[in-house]
Amino acid sequence: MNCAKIQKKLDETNSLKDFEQELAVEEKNHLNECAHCQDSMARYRGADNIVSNMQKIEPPVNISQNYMAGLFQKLENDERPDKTVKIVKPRVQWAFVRTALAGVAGVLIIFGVWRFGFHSGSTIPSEYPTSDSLEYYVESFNEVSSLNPVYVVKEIEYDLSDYERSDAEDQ
Amino acid sequence: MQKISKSLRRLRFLLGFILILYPFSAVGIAQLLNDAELLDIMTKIKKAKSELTYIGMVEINGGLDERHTMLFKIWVQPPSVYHMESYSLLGRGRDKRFRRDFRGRDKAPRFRPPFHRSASKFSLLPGEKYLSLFQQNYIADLRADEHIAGRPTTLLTIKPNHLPRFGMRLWYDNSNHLILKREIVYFEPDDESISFIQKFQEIEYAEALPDSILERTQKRRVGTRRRGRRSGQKFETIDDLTNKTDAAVFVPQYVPEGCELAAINYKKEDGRKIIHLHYTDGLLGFSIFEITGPPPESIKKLLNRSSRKRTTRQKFQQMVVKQQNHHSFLVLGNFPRVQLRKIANSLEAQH
Repeated sequence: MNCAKIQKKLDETNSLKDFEQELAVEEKNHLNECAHCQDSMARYRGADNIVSNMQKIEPPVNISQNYMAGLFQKLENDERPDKTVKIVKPRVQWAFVRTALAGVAGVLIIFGVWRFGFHSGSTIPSEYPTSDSLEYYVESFNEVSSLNPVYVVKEIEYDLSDYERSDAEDQ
Repeated sequence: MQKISKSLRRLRFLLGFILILYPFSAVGIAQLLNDAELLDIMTKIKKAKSELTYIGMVEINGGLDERHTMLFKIWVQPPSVYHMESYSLLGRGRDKRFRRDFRGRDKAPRFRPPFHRSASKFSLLPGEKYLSLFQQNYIADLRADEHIAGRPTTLLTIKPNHLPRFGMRLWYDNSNHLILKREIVYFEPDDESISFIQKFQEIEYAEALPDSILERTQKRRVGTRRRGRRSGQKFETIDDLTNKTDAAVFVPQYVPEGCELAAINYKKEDGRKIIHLHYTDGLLGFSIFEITGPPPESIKKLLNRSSRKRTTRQKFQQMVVKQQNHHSFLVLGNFPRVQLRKIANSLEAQH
């Protein structure tokens, strides 16, 4: 537990001197006894020595201004045929976008009227059979069969068709 | 004196004989129906079905095997409530289909939506248009018969003149003409077999259904189907259809005896041209759907089956599919499968 605490403090500290000052008594005792923590300390101390022996160089004050000016100068003197650099901001063709959106909306409206008529969605049952399903043909058959004299007694049979279909699927 | 006593004894014997036979007299005597009587009975049956409210227990058997008997409880309140639930199962091997349907969804308890079709169907008079055709092809007779669900009934038998063909036996309640038992019978020259039985085990007539059952059905109310979209363009004759639409119409060279062309519909739907020819013998019928364009998925599935399985297993409503060049054909009807297959094979283009 103490090892983890000491390791965390070592990672967070800026200088070894501050670190040693901030250690509690029991942490100091642990550091004296624990070989692992002593090893960590030794590595940290070594790194600290290397950094402290390095020579400090102060950057020139106007480095950022010179850098940008030099960069633009380099671009100006470039050997490309078109030496000018144009920064083009993309312009939205609103007139085109409006026309395209109106066109898409128009197509959707025409498709909707053609497909569903003027009925609202609530009146169209979701299970309306298309000509892809057998139910469509069975219903068409039942419609014309209703002209027969005793069609009136076939109602229950129609109602059973689901069970009959499942029967056929089971086969 | 002796002569008188002998005569009295004979008279007493005769009276006793008559008294013994009297209760059975109505059972044995069948009454053949003319057009007016048949129409009258059908109108009463229609009226009963469109007006009576009742709760009943119905036994249905489509396989003629007692193990396949299904029991349903039904609640009916015209014009729009027709609620049917599987009540219990008799026999084995059937229970799994009541736990799931063919898409694998939970199936029991099954709440049916209100039965909207009845309202529009019952607005028609029962088949005045085809009554004479019906009388040519069938014999209908009436006789008093057994008690069903505790109620006295009359049996209406409809037997075909041209065999083999389906016929019917209908038992209706004497008091109100509601059908309490129905059998679809397959009549053959030397034999007859029952293909379907529907029979009330119990029935209770009521003024109105309980609110609890109505609430359940109202939740599943479906929208009115747009029938106009499906009905398409109607034609009187095939020549009329070919002249006006320039379509190649395939006509069957074989038609079962007694059948006549009853309806011609032409419609364009889902990128297909669909010609629908309907033939009837006054009671049963068959439809030929000629589809020009991309074949429907359902027909493709049936075509992909082996030829023996290209018909469905439904007893009373059979289906046969066929593909020829750019045309798909579906023949659907109440005739035996062999006849429908023969019809499909005899289709030829008529320009």
